[in-house]
Amino acid sequence: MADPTAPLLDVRNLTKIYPRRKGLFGKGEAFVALDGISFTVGRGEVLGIVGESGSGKSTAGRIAMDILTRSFGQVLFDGVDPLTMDRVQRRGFRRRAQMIFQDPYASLNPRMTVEQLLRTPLALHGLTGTPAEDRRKLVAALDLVGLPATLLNRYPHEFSGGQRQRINIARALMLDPALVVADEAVSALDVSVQAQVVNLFMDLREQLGIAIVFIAHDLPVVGIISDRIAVMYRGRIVELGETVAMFTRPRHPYTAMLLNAAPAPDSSAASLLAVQPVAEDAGMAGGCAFRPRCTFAMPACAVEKPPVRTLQGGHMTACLRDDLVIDGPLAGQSCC
Amino acid sequence: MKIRTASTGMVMVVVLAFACVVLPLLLPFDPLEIDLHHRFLPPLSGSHVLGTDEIGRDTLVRLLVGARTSLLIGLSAMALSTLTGCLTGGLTGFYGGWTRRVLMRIVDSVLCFPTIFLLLTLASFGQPGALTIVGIVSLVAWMEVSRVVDGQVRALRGREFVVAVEAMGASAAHMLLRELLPNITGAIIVVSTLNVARAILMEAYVSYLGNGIQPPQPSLGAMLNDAQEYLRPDPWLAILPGLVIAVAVIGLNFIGDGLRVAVDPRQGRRA
Repeated sequence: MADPTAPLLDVRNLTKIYPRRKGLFGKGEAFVALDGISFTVGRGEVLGIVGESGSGKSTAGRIAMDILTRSFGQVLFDGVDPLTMDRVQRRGFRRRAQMIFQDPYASLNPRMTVEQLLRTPLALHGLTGTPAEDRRKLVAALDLVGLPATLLNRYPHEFSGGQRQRINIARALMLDPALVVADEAVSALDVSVQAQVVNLFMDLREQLGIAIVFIAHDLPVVGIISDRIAVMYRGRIVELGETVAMFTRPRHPYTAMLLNAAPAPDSSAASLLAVQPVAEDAGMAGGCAFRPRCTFAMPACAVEKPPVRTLQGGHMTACLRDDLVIDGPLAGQSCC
Repeated sequence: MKIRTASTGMVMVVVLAFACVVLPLLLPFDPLEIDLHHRFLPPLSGSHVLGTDEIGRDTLVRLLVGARTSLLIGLSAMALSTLTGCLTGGLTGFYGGWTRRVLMRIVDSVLCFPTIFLLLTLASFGQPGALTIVGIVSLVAWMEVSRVVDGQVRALRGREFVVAVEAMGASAAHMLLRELLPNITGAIIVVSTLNVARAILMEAYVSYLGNGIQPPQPSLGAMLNDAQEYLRPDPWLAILPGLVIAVAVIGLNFIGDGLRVAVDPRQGRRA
């Protein structure tokens, strides 16, 4: 076991490049899905990762879980990179890090009953005991996610989306994980069901002390559950900081835009930021990728990729403008 | 509608199979028993319900025993080709990359040969007999299964329920056998059923051309060949084995088509 104060998950300079081939033999330009992102997740901490589709947030989650190969960078789980783990460490990693997927309909094998689905992780890790013990574990896991034990013999198609996501969560809990990566786990659900599942995640974190990487495109939803939030745009983390700081005073214009994309009645920044149409790949040629959509862009933004600046309290932003004062929805409220 | 086709096929095949197994035990004739006093008896002559052939053997019993052999060869060839196809297709679909490129090009190149010539070339190398036929028919029939399994596995490999167990530490074997296979059995059953029909036809080709089941053992293909010489005076000697082959093949194809619709409704509507 590594140093208990060290982060549980430490991602450094992670890069994913998809080579694009032109024609049969030609080489096309590469597509950079992840452009050197770094973040950490502490034990029992909830890190939210927000961004629009194609921003690389799911890619980051999948690489962290080692179900997708990376181009460069390091992923340290408890101080060890899955790439360099031996058999035993790897088994431990597969047990202690679990993933929950976006589509609750696609992530459960349609040919298995709930009981078979929940037994699978136990069987994979040789944790099966007597039938009675196993059954107790299954029932306990179902109970944690608020499902009755009577559902054990049902098939996934008999459930609603929210119930299926609960089954997915119960399955992840069977192995008593330290980290759960929830990749858009609530995005496919109805708003009312979303709230229930988000609450469930919060309960789990409180009751079981599980660290969660909560990936979503909806900043307000992420804000409810996360201790810290990373905002991603075109493969980079453009801002990373405490949730409250982010909602009070966003440092990056993109974060501000996302905050204002949510219904926040008394948002003074709304007038500053108009959503502008963007041409595909505009801004990727160099400089800040967000530049074409940014109302604060200056000539320098087209020249260099904004380096990450670390501000007070470990807040990080990748914006050249250090003179921006943008109010978030929590600005002016005396909270916390 | 398709349900009715499938049931019709089912009835045809079940009746034929039942007759093949049970009737030869009840009939008072041996398929190899020569009776030179009663040659070329037409159907419905006395105790020989379907007549006798050029050396007085009972046609009905020979037909049934021949059909039994055909069905057995068809089923065995199907089993062997399905196994080979699932193994190759499963691996290529699962691993992709070079494994897939190499194995699928092999499939393509085997498919390039006209089936009948390939079949006969292979047959000329082996010792004629039931086992050899099973072997060579499987050799020319596994590619289709392989392609279907490859496609299905590839389609499902990236689905979240597979990736989900992968993230839990599932081995390739677990993913293939426990997660993927149960979800593609439908498609496999369809191609396999159609393969039984094809195997029966192929066995008939090979035996017709003399490389299959050897005389005096009865075989539908060989009976057709024998009947050629007497086509004018005694056409039933050719018509009857042809009819049995047709019933078996059509029945199996009906089942396969019906199942195809059951497994993939979209494809059925288009067809």
